[in-house]
Amino acid sequence: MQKRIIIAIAGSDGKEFTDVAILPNTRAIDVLKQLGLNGFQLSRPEGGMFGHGDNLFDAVSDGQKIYAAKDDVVAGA
Amino acid sequence: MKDWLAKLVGKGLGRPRLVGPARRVIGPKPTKVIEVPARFAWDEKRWQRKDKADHVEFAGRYRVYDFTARTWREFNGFVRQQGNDIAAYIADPPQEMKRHAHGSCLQLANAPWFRLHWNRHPATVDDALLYMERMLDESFNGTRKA
Repeated sequence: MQKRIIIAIAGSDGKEFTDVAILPNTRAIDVLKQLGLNGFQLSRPEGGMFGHGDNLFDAVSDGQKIYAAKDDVVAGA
Repeated sequence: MKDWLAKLVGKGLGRPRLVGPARRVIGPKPTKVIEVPARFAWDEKRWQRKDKADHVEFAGRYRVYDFTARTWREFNGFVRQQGNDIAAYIADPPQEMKRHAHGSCLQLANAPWFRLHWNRHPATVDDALLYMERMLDESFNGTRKA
């Protein structure tokens, strides 16, 4: 059993990885590493970001688009 | 055969007349697949872009699921991009956000708008928008596992 998702790079004009297949227990970090997205984090469909160790497979639907955003953005007073 | 039956089926009137549905063969047509174009996150989230003379404005709603209240929470949002400078605003931020580690980074700009100040600036509008939603998510839901 696998799910197919789309990983889009936030802020890029059209750069995305289409038809990414993930298997049960795939973590966010597994996807980021295999796509060479160092310094990125994956956005959750319901808002917020996945932790690198979070189970991605259970949290996404087949065909869903997920954005990869830079993880070096930090708020500061 | 009775006259009325003969007329009906055509017997005795030359070739029988067949009445029925016209023959028409309906076959499958090739399926057309509509490719979805790549979109910015702000576009995917249905934000609107307005080009001004010297900057660009994006307006929409930050949207995050609140797992405690079991409902979606939405807040008016606004991002202004001028060159490399990207400013993110939220209208009437929730109380929960004030308890966030970076809650004090939200400062009232022009009621009801609060501006989020950066320590490390986002490079794109998408990054700013997604960061604000991340703060909202952490404010409502803390850190959680999938």
